[in-house]
Amino acid sequence: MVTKAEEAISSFELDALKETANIGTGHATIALSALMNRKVNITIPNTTLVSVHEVGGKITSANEAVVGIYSKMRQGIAGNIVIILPTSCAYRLIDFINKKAEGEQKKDILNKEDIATLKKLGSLLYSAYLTALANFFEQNIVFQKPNIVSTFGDSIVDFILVQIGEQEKVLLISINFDVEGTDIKGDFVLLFTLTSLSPLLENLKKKMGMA
Amino acid sequence: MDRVNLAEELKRNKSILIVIPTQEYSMAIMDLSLQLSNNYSRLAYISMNKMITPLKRSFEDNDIDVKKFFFIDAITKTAIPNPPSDPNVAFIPAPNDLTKLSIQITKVLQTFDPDCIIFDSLSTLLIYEDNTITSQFMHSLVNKINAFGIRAVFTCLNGDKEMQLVRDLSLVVDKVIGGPA
Repeated sequence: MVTKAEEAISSFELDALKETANIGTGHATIALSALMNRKVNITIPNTTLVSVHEVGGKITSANEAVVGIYSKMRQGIAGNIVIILPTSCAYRLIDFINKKAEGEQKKDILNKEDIATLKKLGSLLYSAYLTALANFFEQNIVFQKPNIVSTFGDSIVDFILVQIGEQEKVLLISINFDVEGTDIKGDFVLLFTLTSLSPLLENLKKKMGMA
Repeated sequence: MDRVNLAEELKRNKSILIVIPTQEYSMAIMDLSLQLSNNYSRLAYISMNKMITPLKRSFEDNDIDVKKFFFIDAITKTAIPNPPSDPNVAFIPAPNDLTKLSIQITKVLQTFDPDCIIFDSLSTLLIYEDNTITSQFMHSLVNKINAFGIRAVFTCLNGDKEMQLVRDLSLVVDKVIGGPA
């Protein structure tokens, strides 16, 4: 179904935005898979252009406490990125990265080292995703160093919308992933403002001789 | 979960721990805040879960008088390192910075002189600290609040991880609502 926000751009532009989501997701998945040395399964990115007030309805509330690896875009594009992991999955992910063997005592809190590990993971995945995006649009894109946030209920949506104007139309991309052979799963959510994507789309059209 | 009559409960108990099913959490916390704002004039709200701007917006959407509250916000700075200053908000760098949180709570008790304090929520502490540390922190906090003679409402989710903490804290707070049998 076409959202009201999607009516504001051409089908070419919408297709181009959806394509960037696919390319970026592919790169981030390869990076995670290489780190874990496991296959990472992902859903097809759910990419929609919506108004800010519609974002809450598009994100599933966390029915348990979650850990978010949050980063804000700093240059080239405006928006936020969050990897959302149920706390139990965040602990298992740390165990996996630290190569804890079966039977060893497993993690059930996040200490400073674990937080640093999750930040590094965020940097790796965001870098993979955004490099693909930057190459696609031939635009330098920079993100802030990731931070770790913890929350539950519908509060995770607040992070996705940090410092986004209430009147903005936004491109919302969400992907579910799981790591094969483990109980690690999570969501990768990206939000970019249409205002900041417009110059990138114009460049793309020029490059393709459409403008 | 049945609706808690907080005014009645706080007449009989100075400190209450309320265990809330996750799916009902957002609505329940607004209902508790509304009841408190209808019955008290000065409230201190410690937010470990919701950033100040959306929290205030939710209060306004639920007809809760924001002006009665002083907020200690331990989450906004994890996303916005330099949030705009607000005379009714004290920011803590992160929810796992228990030392700064403790110092700020003391400061608010001394300067704002609240009738009641709301701690939302213990579940966030459990992400970063084990049960023993969280329990010790809460013992010290409840003792401090009791020394100031004010009322306190603590909340947490009804997850497996919380149940041991709830059992421990049942020896510290006056009443646990919605906890394990």
